[in-house]
Amino acid sequence: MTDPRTGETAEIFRGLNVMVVEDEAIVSFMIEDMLLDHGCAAVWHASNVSAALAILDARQPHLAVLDVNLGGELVFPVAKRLEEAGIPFVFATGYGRNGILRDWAHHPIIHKPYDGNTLARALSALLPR
Amino acid sequence: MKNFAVSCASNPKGLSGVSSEQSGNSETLILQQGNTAARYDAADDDRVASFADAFGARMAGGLAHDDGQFRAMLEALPVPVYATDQDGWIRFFNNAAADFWGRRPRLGEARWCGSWRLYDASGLPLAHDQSPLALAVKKNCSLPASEAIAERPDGTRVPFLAYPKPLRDSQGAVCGAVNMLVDISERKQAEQHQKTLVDELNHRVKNMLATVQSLAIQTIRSAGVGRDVLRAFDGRLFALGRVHDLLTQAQWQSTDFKAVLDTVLRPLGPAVQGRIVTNGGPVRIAPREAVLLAMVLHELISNASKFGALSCRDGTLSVVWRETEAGASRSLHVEWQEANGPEVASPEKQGFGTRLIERGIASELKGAAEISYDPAGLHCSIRIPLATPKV
Repeated sequence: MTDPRTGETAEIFRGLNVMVVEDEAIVSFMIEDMLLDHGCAAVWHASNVSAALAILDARQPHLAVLDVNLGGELVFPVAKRLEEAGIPFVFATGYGRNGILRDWAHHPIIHKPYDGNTLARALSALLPR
Repeated sequence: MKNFAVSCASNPKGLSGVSSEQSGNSETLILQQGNTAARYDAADDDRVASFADAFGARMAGGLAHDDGQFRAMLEALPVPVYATDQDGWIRFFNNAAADFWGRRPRLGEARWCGSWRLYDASGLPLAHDQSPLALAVKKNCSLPASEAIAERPDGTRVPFLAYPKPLRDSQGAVCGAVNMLVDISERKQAEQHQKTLVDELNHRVKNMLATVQSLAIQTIRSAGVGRDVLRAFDGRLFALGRVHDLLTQAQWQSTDFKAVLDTVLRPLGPAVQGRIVTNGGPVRIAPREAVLLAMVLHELISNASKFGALSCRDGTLSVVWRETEAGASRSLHVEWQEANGPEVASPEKQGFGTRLIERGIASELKGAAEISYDPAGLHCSIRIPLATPKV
């Protein structure tokens, strides 16, 4: 991809492991493809809160992408755990900023539907410079 | 149907009864004076305010010449009402007020308002000497209905509208104040419920769009079709998603044409945006009009970016709109003019964009759209009769 900060092609995601929490399988395929296309090493997928917490018990991703509503269950326990571990993340959701996400609006939010470049821009802003 | 009238001996101001009538969901407040009665719709803020005015004026006379009957009449009133002296000490409250506050303050010991705690409409603590009645007494005038939140000793909170009014003696000096409180919990709950439903609906629509997007990507990839096809599809899908966001913010009520245009222009880079001039006043359009216009504007923008004035460095675009009125009907006119781009030629076959613009506007919005392939720059003229009345 083109790094928006330098304007040069930079594979800034090479070697990174990303956790994706998304309850809809078809949507998760697309997010996984977007991340792998941008050079990520591995995508760890969870479709609910307990599966996501189990991933975090065993491994430490570099970044995370969180859907907010996981079939009626809210993703916030995962967000809290990531905050504690210092792992940066974006919310990728169909909700607006002012409703359910009011208390979390200091984290980046991207709105469904989005393309791979939008996701990459949001994630690259979270990486240490 | 609940119907109770309060009868009492006529007092010096001639107020002979206050009552309330309930019919279905609507409630009517009635002030009776001799043989005439004035009726006020309890759901209408302005009407309730004028009820409070009329009631306050008559109460000033009634409290000054109290014969016991007047208090009995106030006790029976189903609306919380209380009165204070000129220093704000509560001298009277009715049973409805005690129920509303969840407590019975001692007369002469509670000041300005009998509630346990008060908050302003945004939920910040409000001192009792800043309550609506305190402000009305200090400013010596009736204030427009103001919203606040009362907290009961058990912690429950009640949003309400206050209609405070200073009472004057026969010389015109302030001798106290009367306040009427209207519980608006149900209205607030309904508003919150509606907002949650709209947010939830938008969330589902956006997830469905993401699912459709993923299906398209999987299909296109396995068919070995070029990435530009996917980008064109994404562009259309995202335009639809952004206008849904805009309409959710507007609670699916009317929205401004400029805001719809902005959802389409926002994804363009700043360099391209610098070559676009937009000009027009506020025009309210209905959700249905907003969705189709967003799609139409997106087709025009992507055509301009691929083949038209925005595809080269010096090209410019002007979008000008205005509203016209003829009798009760309103129309929106949009003029899209490209200039300084590559020479324009008519397309060989009609694509989705042209079809949507010419046929979509005509059949879905009963308007007219005309695209002219002027070699100097594409021009598109759109006229739509608007469904919503002017505000």
